[in-house]
Amino acid sequence: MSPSTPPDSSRWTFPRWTNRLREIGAVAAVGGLVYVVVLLTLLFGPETSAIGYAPDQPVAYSHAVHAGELDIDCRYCHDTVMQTAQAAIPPAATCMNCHASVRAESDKLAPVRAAFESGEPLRWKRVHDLPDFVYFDHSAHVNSGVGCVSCHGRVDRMEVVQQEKALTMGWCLDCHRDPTPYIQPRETVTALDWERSDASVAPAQLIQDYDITPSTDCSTCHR
Amino acid sequence: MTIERTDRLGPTGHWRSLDERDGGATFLERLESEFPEGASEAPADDSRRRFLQVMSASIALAGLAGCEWPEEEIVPFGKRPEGYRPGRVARFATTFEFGGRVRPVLVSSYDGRPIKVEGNPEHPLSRGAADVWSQATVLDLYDPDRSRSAFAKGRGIAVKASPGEVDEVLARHRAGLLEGKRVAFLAAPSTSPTRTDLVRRLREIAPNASWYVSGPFDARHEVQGTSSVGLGVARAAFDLEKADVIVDLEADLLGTHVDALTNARGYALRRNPDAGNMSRVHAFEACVSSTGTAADHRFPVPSSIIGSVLVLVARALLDHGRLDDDAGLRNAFASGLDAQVARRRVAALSNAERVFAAIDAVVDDLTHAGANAAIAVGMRQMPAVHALAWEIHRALGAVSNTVRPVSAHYDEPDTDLVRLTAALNAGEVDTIFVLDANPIHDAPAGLEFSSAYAKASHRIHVGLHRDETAQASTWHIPMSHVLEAWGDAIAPDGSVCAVQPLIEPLYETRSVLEVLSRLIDTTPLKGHDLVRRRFGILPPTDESIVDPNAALEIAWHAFLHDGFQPGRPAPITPTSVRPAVWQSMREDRGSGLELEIVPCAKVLDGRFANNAWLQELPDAVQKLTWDNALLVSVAYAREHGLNDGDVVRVTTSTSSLEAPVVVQPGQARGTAALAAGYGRTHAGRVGDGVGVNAWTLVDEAGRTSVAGVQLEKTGRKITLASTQEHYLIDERGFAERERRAPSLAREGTLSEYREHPEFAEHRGVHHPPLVSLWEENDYSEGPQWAMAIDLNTCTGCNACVTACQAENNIPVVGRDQVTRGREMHWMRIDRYFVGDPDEPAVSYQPVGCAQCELAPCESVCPVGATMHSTEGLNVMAYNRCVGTRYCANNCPYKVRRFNFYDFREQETPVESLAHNPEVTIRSRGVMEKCTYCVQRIEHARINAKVQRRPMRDGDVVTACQQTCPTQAITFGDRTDPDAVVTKAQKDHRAYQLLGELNLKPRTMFLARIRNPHPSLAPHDTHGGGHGDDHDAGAAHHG
Repeated sequence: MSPSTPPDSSRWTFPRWTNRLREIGAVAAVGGLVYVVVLLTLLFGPETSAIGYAPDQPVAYSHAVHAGELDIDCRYCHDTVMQTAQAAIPPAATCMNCHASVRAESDKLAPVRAAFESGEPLRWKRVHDLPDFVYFDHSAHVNSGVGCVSCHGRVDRMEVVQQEKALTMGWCLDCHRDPTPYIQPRETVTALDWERSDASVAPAQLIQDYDITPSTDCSTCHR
Repeated sequence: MTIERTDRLGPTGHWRSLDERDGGATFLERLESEFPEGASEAPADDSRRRFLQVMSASIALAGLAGCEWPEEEIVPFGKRPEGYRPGRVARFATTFEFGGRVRPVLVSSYDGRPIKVEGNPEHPLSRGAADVWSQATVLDLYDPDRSRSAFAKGRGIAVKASPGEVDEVLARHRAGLLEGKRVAFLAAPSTSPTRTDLVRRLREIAPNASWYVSGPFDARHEVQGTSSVGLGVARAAFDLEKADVIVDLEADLLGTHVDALTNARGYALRRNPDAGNMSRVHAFEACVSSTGTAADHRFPVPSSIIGSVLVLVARALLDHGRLDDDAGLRNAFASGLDAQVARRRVAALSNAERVFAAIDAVVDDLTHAGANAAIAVGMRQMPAVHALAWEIHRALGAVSNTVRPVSAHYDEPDTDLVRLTAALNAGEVDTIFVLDANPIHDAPAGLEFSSAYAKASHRIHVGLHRDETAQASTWHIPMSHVLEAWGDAIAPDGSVCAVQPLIEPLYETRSVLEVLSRLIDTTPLKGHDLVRRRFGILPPTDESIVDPNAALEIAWHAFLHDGFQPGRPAPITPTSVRPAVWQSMREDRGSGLELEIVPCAKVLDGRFANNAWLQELPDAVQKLTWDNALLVSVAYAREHGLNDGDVVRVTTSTSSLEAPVVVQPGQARGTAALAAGYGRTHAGRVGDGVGVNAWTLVDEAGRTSVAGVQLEKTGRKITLASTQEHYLIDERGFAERERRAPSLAREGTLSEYREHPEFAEHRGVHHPPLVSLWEENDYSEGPQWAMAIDLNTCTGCNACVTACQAENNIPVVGRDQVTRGREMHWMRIDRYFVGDPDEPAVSYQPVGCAQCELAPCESVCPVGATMHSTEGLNVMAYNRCVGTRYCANNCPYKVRRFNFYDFREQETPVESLAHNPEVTIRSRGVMEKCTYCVQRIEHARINAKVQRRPMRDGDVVTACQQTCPTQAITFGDRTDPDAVVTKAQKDHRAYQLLGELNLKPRTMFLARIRNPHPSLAPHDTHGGGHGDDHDAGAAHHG
């Protein structure tokens, strides 16, 4: 800046609106408080962790009928659950194993038949959705005796599948820190109504038998 | 000041660059800063202010986006293919063939998309190893610049053509072929039996068709040399496991050689200093190659003198008279070889005395090794040099022991580019098909191929890209990538290797075989049927199966499953001896500065120029990325006042170009070198305009050693994107550097090691007993992961760096970012020069995160983003990272990398298909580093759990370990006393890098052992690195 120019004094006086600063401050304080309360309520509410999320699916498939009434084992459809990370959603061909003869003409099944014939896949809505930076592996859990019910709830009673557990990191860690209440015999992992009785093997014994050493290292789930 | 430092350093210290050695200002500046200057600045085109605006805007948007839970879909198959498990990696064996190299590979496919290439562990020639090119080809598959549709060009305008139109035009040309039109084919060298078969049929149906095979740096000279001594149309293949002595005459056996992977494995098996049969490697070469750095002795000699060196070796062997069968050698000298001429040429070298001593040592070694000697001659050498190597092998009895002739798969070795050009110029060609070749870029400029090419009225190009040749053609047909196509190849051991597609062609492409079939077969066949048809005529391997069809079907499935069918090399028809070859050794090669045009260890001959992984790979020796440069010797640079980045005009007798200079320690005096494969004009958005095209300096004879080259300073200077001084290890003060550098990459000689097995431990910095500031965790319960890297067999080939990049979704940052020191490779290979700048020895040290038990990075992280796992891993929780970079600042190994940008923003959807879904994609502002491939650890653990068994040694194989051609890297649980890594870490040679800092790193290094010839002064590798006298005294023997 050249020395000959006099400094512009208006830059150093407060503008007129600052006279109302006190009122503005009061409104901001009240507003801020409301904001914080609303924020915290939302943050820890079940809505945020999507409990109860039950989107409409392209086919009105009822777990209550198939897994509940008919008592079909989870693994008949989710056949990869014991071997891979994903409990695969079955191809339409799996449905047609039965529905080629059972209710073969049902309107409700029209999209399934179309998918089977054309090969054009059905587009299901994902209900249990973990963030992409979490590497969850179904096979690691079911082979350790963590039952389907522990994370998915009583799917056999659900007409429309909904998320029942929080699926938050804290919720995962609860079990990783102490898996005792959740371990059941491997043979029973898909039995959603399994309950521990006096006759069942003690969980501590199962933990030892299955060599369960759940890790809370970051890299267990985040890579 | 500069001179003073040089003197003080003496001739024996370790140094990474001339700037460091001379204590230049740049080096000092870099040493003091965590990231090079400007590393924290946004790139020039985005001002810092703009950067902050963008940052705040994206935070606001992120806040909004966070309010909505993204809805995801699950899309299962209508009918799931048999054996397919969603989300599980499937592996298929296939083969990658390029530039005469056959690489049997195993490709991982995730939900139908190929994501990673590894070597085929079943194949005896690759045993799981893969080179940088095979690994990087997965990026080529998803290259957005690939040609997606055919075009026809009329009056200079290219018009898109449909596959139907391509079929039509091919049918028209088929009719032309049958009518006897003069059609020429130019194809890249290939071993494919299906292609050979098609070419045979082409000759039957089309009398006037001509088939030319040519590629840059092909084995033409070698084939001519081999056939002139009667060994057939063949090249040399080596069995280095049997070789006591290896003489590498510019062949780069472990680097750019066609059989490099096989060679590397054989070489490594004989480098065990404990086995008592360690081999010795002598290298004579003009510019420093991977093999030169691995050698026990490397002698810088101009390329044109290498033949003379071999003549002197041959003469001395004859004179010593302890040879099996010296008739061939005697004949050679009788028909034109002249030791006097050779001696005169060598005597004219500035380092003549040393070269003569080297020749004596080589002769001594060869005499002792006898049949267990191997002499490898580079493809740039004249036929006579190859012929002479064969005669020496014969005389020593080494043929079919360490070396054997294998088919070079040239139908007619003389139908090369020179003849094609002549035919084109003579108007003898109406139609030309260029199949997967790019002669407009890589033909020697002196040939003036482009003007000859234009003389053919129909020019049809089949290729991956719309490259230079496509631009000059009247038709372009897009080619399928190797991962989309069917084919086959024959490995040097005679096994037939399968090429099978991992994915349907992404675009309207077809393979070369399919194009040929449309021209040749009455009913054109698809690639699968072509290969199957050819496979049907192979003799059955299992004679116990009676039904021939069933036997064939079983064999076919085994072929596809294993990726190859074992076989014996086809017998080679001997050729008649041509003594005239020896006369050529007398030809004078001219005087003055000699320019060597060499294949690039990254983009090879330019075919990989559009591959960003390869462009950004730091060259093993120069550590240069995104450029080629004229390499000049230290002596020349001093004499002419040249510095790195100075642009010079290079003038040969026929043409000239401008190129930046890199002063290369170890470059032979009187030579300069320029890598080919750069200066592409139609490679794509990655490769265009990178570097300068070396082919423009080559005369019509295609000579890649050009004599009488003039260099002239232009006064301009450019910044080369070199990584050599990035991420320096601060050795606590400059003054201490000289004393301590040898403690980083430790090495000794074999005799030293025998006398003093623990020498490596003593070469460290002497320190008081180490006391920990922290209460240490208990790491006695397994698994505790650990790694050992054997510096003795590391050849600096970069395969591990590329494997890591592919496995861990490491972004490419571009030239500008590399100049700012922001390259992202989790593994870097430190390169140290040792000793005299004219003839330095070179050491490599691959450095990734050492997973220190007392990690300094963890204690400074304010948000707990980097934590220690119970298994000893220093893990990163990317979501916690706020980007303070304190950890990188506090890391003594400088292995942490920061995402200054979101490098995925520019990515097209096709490119993102190459990512490994098992590893998180990191975003801007996040620190990352080597994780010991934690995804592979977790995968192995879960796998063991599913199989209901404990984890075993060898369950976890890291990406770098998996691909290492010399198996220098071992990894495992160090609480398991029988684990390979535990044994490696207990080896005498094992040491901790910067052990005096008490970091307790999980990665240990095994010191390098050189095996020098007793008569040649060993490289002094101590550099005064000893703290106390009793060691120094004892270790200076031998």
